[in-house]
This record gives sequence, C-alpha cells and structure tokens, in this order.
Amino acid sequence: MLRKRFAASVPKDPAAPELNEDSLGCDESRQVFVLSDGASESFNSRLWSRILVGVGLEVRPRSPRGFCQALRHCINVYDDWCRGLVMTWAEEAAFARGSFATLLAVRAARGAGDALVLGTGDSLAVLAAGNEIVSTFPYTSAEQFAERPHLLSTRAALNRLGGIDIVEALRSLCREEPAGPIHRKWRLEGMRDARVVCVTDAVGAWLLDGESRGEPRLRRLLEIASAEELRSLVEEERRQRRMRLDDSTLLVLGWDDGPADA
Amino acid sequence: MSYTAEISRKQATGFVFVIDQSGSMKDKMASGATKADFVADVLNKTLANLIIRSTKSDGVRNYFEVGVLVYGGKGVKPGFGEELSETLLQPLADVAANPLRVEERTKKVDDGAGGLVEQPIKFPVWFEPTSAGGTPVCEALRQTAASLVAWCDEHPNSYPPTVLHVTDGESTDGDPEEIGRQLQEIATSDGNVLVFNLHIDTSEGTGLMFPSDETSLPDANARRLFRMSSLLPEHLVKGAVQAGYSATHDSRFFGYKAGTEGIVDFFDIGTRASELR
Repeated sequence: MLRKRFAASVPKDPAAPELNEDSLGCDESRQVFVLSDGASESFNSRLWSRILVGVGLEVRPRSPRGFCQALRHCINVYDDWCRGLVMTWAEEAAFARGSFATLLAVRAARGAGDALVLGTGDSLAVLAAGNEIVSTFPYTSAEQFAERPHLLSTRAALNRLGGIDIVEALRSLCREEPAGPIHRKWRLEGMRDARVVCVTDAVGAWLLDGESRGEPRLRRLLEIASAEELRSLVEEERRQRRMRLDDSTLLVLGWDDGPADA
Repeated sequence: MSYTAEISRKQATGFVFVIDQSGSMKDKMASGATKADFVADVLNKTLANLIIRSTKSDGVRNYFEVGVLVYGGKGVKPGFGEELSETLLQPLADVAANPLRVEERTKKVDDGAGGLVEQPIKFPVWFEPTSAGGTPVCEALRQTAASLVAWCDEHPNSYPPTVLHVTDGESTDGDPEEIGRQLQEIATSDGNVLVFNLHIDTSEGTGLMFPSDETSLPDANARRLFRMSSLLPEHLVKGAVQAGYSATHDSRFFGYKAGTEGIVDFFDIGTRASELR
C-alpha cells in the first residue's frame, strides 16, 4: 500500500500563504497522489491547479478518450467559475490568454509494488532507494528547469504538450508501458526503503543541482519531519540564492512494508 | 551574476520607452501606416501585453513600472496622459487603470476549420502618434537618466530598468554618445541599466538586428547607436535566438533600418525581463 509520508508547501510570499499556487491531493484508498504547480503568468492558476488535482484524484481514465474528456471537464469547471466575474479589459484579456499549471500524478500500478507516474510540466518525481536517487521524471538534470515547460492550459488548443502525439502518449500510459513521453512506470521489485518524492520546480532544480555536485540534498528532504522544518530549509536556501523564490511543495510517498515483493 | 534578480510585486523592474516623434516619423512604411502610427500601435500593444501578463483574477500585480518619454517638435515630454504624468515610471496597475481610451478592434483567429475569422478585441490606447520638429535625443536621454538614478536608489536590488529607445534619425541637439554611456552606468545590485536602441526605416523586414561588430554598420550614426546599446544578457540572447536571430553574447541590443517586423521583435524581445514570481 502506497502511503503519504509527508506533505507540506512553503509559499513564495510567507506573508500571503493564500496566494500559494501549488496544489496537492492524496487519496490512499484509491492509491492516487496528485501535485500541480500553477504558473505565475496566469489569470487564475491557483484555481486551475486545484481543479486539476481534484479531477485527477476523482477520475481514473482508462483510454486516451477518457483523458481528453477529463481534461475538457477541468476546463469547463474553470470556465464556469470565471464566467460569473465582471472583468476589466485587462482581466478579460488575461482570462482569454489562459491559466497554466503542471500535473504530476503517482499511483500504484497494477504490478505489485510498482508505481506509475504521469507528468507534464516541470514538477519532478524522484524514485529513491534509501537516500539514493534511482530515477527522476520528467527531468534528469537541473539545467532542464530553464527550458519552457509543457503546461496544461485552460485553453484547449494549447494542450499539445510540446508537439508530441498526445493520443499515442496517452495510449501507452493507459497500457502502463514502462516509459512514454508523459509517464514512467517504476518497478520496485527487490528495492529496499523505496520512496517516491514529488516536488515543484524550485525544489526540483535545487535537488538535482546539488545532487549532481555530490551534495546529499535528497537526504535533507527525506529527513524533514514537519512543515516548519521544510519552511526553514526553503527560506535558508532562498536566502543563500541556491533555491529560486517560488511556491515550494514537497510530497513524500512510501510503502507500508516496502514494495509487496521486495 | 547580473540580470538574475527575481521580479515580484515587492521587487519590480522598470521599462522606459523613449520615442522619437520628429517630423520624419510621418513617412509611410510599406504597410501604408506612418512610422509614428506603427510605433504607437506596437508600443500600446506592448504595454497591454505587460499588463495582461501581470493580471490575475484579483487584479493587476505591480511586477513592472513603466514610463514613456517622447521627443520632437515640442521638445521632450511624458508620453502618457495627464493621469500618469506625476513621475516618469508608473506602477503597472495605475497604467492599466488609465488608458486614454479603449478601442474596439478586430483580429483574425483560427476558426478551427482551416480558415480565419475576425474576432473583436479591446485595444487600450495610452500613447498617441504625432510627428513634428527636430530630434532632441540628448535631452530625452538626460531626463531618462535623471529619473533612473532616483528609481535605482529606491529599488537597489531590483532587476535593473530597461530603456527602449526608438528613433529614425540623428540627434539634433548634440552628440548623445556620452549621455548614452552615462545612462548605462546607472545600476542596481543586479546589473547596469539596459539601453536598447532601434533605428527604424520605411522598408519592410527586420533590417540588421543584434550586430556584434560596429564595422558592419554603414555610417557614423549607426555606429554611435551601436556603441550606446547594451550587450544582451544571457536570457535575452536566448530570446533573440528563439525569435530566429543569430545573436551571441557579443551582440548589442541594437537594430538598424528595422521595418515592421524588426520593430515588433525589438519591443517583444526587449520587454522579456527574467521570470516573474
């Protein structure tokens, strides 16, 4: 059984936690865990990321069509909320431009102890064995965080995910194939103390940058036991200009007794 | 490392647009619009884009402060209307709330069936085109420098302000090179003020954009504007390359004989400060 071991978020502005645009949701009974990071340049990415997380927890599409319907449903919910607003010319134009967010979902896959990760954008999932990184998805190096991420948009026409064939990508995801452009299936057989760590981009870039230089930053994240400890680490790393100023979220998942067949 | 400060409401950056409104700006471009009309449209659109990027469902966030200074027949004066004339640089939310008017225009959009349809859009106007008289570049840059010294004192750790200067001719009030150099020496802890110059022409196309060597330029005025222009910071090199230019770290943010396409790119790339937070 996959369990939430830790979850907390540090807003970019400590005085305004209500403006935090990261969202996360965990449903252990369904074995689904979802993280979304709303982009700063968006009309209402806080709302958009919450809708994506809510629908991501509720819906388990089993076909490409199911995924497209789920995404369309998210857009309809967002549009319905915004349509009631009286807007200035700038708000109208910003609404028309859209809201953008990442989506990172982890769920227990069909194989005992396996994990299936769906990711688009620059939120990062890390498979860890003890304090060692085994694999990361969708990025593998800190430099990749400087590229423009493929975010989910409230404007349906923009959801092309960087020109990949979305139907093929979703088909391979539904088949739970080992690897595709928007997903990874991580096999945990024989792995001791396996955990999946999900972070938004500021923490992800900091983690991969430090690890590439031999600094045990994954261990620092895994040692965090409270929201206060996460806040302290993030604020210190921001002060030292080692971590970008952004909403910063950490979600750690682990198995009850290790993966079933470990 | 310079030009990496995060831009937030607590740490805004600034853009100053210095626009030539001398008599020659009434010359028509290949599109049929005068240079003054076309530059005004692009500037108004650029201001609108900065505002739209910064607009959330709870209002406009002051990531930027912006100002417009014009020079021509009436000397040097603010380019915004009266509501925005107290200081050169104005918070973005105030700019958003005080256009001269909001026009209804149309734009062509994909109809989803392989064609284009016209869609009505709101087009706010802050800046009116005019064209008369001489080209007092020195005085315009002097006033810009005076405002930016004060601004940088008040925002010591901000991403430094960017000056986008658009002209179609030579200065008529002296050699602006020295004041241009002084302008580039104003700084915050994140770097020196960025000065971008664009020389425009009635031709189509981009002209010569982001040159790295003044010897490729044809006359003394072009070479002077080249020397008055800042090197491209790292993220703007990337922006220029993505837009199809062969910019390098030795390139200056300068365009010579730019037509419609070059003008649009100059404003677009020049207002891409680092990421908003």
